[in-house]
Amino acid sequence: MLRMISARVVLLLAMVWTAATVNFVVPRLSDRDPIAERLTQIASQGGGSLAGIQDMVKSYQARFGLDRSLWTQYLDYLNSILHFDLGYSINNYPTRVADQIAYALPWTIGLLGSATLIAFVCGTLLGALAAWPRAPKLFRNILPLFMILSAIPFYLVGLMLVYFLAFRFNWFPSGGGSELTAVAGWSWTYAIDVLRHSLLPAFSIVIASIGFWAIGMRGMMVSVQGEDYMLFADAKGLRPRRIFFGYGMRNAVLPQVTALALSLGRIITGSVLVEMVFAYPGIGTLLFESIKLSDFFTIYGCVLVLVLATGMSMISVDLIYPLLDPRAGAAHE
Amino acid sequence: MQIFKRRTLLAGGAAASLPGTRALAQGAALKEVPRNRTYIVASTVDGPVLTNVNNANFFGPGVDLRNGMMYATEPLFWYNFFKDEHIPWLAESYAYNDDFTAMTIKLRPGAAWSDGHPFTARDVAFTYNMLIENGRTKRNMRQAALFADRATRAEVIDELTVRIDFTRRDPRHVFAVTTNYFAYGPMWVPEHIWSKVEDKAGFTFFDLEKGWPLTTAAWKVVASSPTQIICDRRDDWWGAKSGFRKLPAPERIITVPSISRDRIAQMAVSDAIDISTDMQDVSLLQEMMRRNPKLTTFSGDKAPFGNLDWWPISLFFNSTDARWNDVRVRRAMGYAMNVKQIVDVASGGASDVSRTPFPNFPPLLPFIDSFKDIVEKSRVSAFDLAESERLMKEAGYERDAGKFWAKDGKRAGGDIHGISIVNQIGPLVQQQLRRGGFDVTFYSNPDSSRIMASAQCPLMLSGHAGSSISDPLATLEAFHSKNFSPVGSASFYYAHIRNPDFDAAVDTIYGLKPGDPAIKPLVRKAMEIWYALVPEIPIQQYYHRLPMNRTYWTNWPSTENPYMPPAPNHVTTSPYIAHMVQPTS
Repeated sequence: MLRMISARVVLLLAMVWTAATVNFVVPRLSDRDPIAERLTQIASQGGGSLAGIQDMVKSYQARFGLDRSLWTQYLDYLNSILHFDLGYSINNYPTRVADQIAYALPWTIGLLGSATLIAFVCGTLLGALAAWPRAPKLFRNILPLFMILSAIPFYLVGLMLVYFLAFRFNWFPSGGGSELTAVAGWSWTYAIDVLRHSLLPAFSIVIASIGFWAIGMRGMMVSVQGEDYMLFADAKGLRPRRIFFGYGMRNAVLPQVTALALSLGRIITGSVLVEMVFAYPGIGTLLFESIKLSDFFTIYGCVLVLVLATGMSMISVDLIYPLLDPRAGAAHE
Repeated sequence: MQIFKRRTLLAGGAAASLPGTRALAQGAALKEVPRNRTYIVASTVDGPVLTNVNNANFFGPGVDLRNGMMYATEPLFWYNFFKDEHIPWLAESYAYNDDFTAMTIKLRPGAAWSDGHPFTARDVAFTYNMLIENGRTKRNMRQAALFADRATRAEVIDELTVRIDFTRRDPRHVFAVTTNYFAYGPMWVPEHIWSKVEDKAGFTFFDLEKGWPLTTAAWKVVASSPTQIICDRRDDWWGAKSGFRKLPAPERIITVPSISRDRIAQMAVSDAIDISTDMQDVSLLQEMMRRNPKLTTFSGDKAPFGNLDWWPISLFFNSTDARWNDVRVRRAMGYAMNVKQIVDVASGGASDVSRTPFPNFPPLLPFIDSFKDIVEKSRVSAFDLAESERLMKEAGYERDAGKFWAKDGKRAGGDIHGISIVNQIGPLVQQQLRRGGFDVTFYSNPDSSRIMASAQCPLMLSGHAGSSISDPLATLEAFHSKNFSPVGSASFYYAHIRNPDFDAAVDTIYGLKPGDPAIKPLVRKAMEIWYALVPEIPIQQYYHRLPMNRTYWTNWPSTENPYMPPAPNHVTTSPYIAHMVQPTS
């Protein structure tokens, strides 16, 4: 087991290094100059004159180390990753990238993490019931609806929800993390406000992804039904609920768990579009804005978080798998 | 070896287990303010979050105080171009010496910083000298180059009097350097804090626990996060204590990101915001007013649905590009554009065709009239496809297989870049020019500002840098050789032209006092050269079109009561609007 974990950690480190290197190179392929861009953009939108701007650009390139050779910058970058020091945001100087991520990450995890888990639980259960001969017909009939919805990208579902439920009927807020006038604070009022604002985006993700989980689970559930242990459990006279959960779902859910781990790792990137539709101040928005303005250091930070999240999810799966299926643990012995 | 620094990503993520721990902590300490005493501004566009939320250094490069920090600032003077009115605020008056090489500013007694220190001539002199020195040496602070170019030093005469020495005769100094209008004018910094700071460009001046940013203004920043900046009224504001003015009505100002124009519309219709940044789309504004009758504009529900701005829009030729060496080609492009149609389609006719580089402000009209005959003769902005064709043939161009003008295998045209605010007219300009045989493509993307400023595209669609308000100099200076910059270096003076005769006329105007009768013939002479050079094709006057909500607040600036242009992106004047609005209940 220890060997397996060690191997996974080494793999994770290799993955982080590879991803970090690609992450460093790709934004640099563009000839954009984030410092000049930021300064001219502010000035062009009414921020004042451009007098002396060349000197300011040079000064700030030096401050961010962008005047050094690309190789030196790369080594500095790897060194900063090793120290978990993501440096300063170009676009939000002197805010540190870590502080920006710390602000945005909880919004994303809160929204997409919970929405993904809700969709996983509902979809998996629905898929299992749809394949279970003793389940009411309703579950078989409702499945095609979710399959159709799963074919629609969640941001389109989101746009429809915004139009009907927020704009036409005014039942939900149309976007944002909280009311504009709400003052952030430790209070029930604020917590309820945040929850209310998360409902519509969460619905869009849940509605659009239940079908995905249900289809996968249904297929697995159908295949396990012919297994000997299912017949044996039935022959033993076990109660249907026990057979369904303890024998059917437990064996069928394993590939779902792998997919869940990957999905949880990917929620950060998957959040970009949904956060843009709902103007949610999460990490997707942060990443999008950073790419838009070539804020190299914030891009590096966001992508590093993504890589780590995916890597950690995979390791978690490896650790959880033996608990769900002892055969997986035995294989590593 | 220290592997993990204090501010690590993991620590940050863990510490913020709920959205914005710091924001939550700040918010917990705030008092409750009812909606009808809260003034909500949707300030910046093109982004769902505010930037620089922990930086109040107005002079820091890249710092954008339109995020709401601007409400915690006050100027020496404000300027209202609608009435050509100088409004003294922290200052009481100013006076030039006889030859306009120096000026003396008299400050208002009783002004004080939020920590109790008096606001004195020392603060003004310190700010001036800090910028002058930076402009001469490091040049890494905003406005430093401007201050160093126009002033040599500032000297404290007494607690309330400061003398500024100019680098040369400068009859417009107080307006160009010391007064707040649109986005121009400095913010004054407390000498007792800033004098101890080594790296002034990198100083954030932001620490709410210390009471920073210190301010003399009627509001101070009390909470700041990427989704909102909150400024609360200071009931101990010096202006009210000294009897200068009453306390302003808004007890709280919340600035939020406006994200996009459709989002502004939603927020304004649902009374979530009181004022927003520019909408531009006339039909959208009309629909918003129909859905929420409490919404209004500067001109109410009548055209132009906004107020005239100093930013007339033109199609600029990048004269460093060899494609525009032949003036006949530039003229031909102008004749291929139907600017009346652009105005009619893009703004429903609620704008004015522009035939000069000047905004049509009343004080400028006599100057514009003085060269009216030259405008007529040049036929600039006239739509005449036949003349366009004649000029192109005369210049040696022929139609190629794609019906575009081409010479030596190269088509006439190129990329047109513009910032998002010209998105409504960009596609029209492109289509008209293509129909006229010019192979152009309009682009507006996040990089367009830089591409335009560094002259890396042949054509730019933009408003006018430096456009004048009551005196024609600023617009003319935009075409002065001193503002010529080579490709790759930043400039708003998109035309990049150089003409010694034009420069001479502008230099002479520079030394003349505004209102001097000698200015008018010089303007005429300069414009004669300008129309011969055709550095741009004027298209339309620019109107700021933004919704103002009368549900909670009244006394917005209007055609009847034009006390200040209302646009919140005018960072230095928007606090004045907050001073003037009155609650409806």
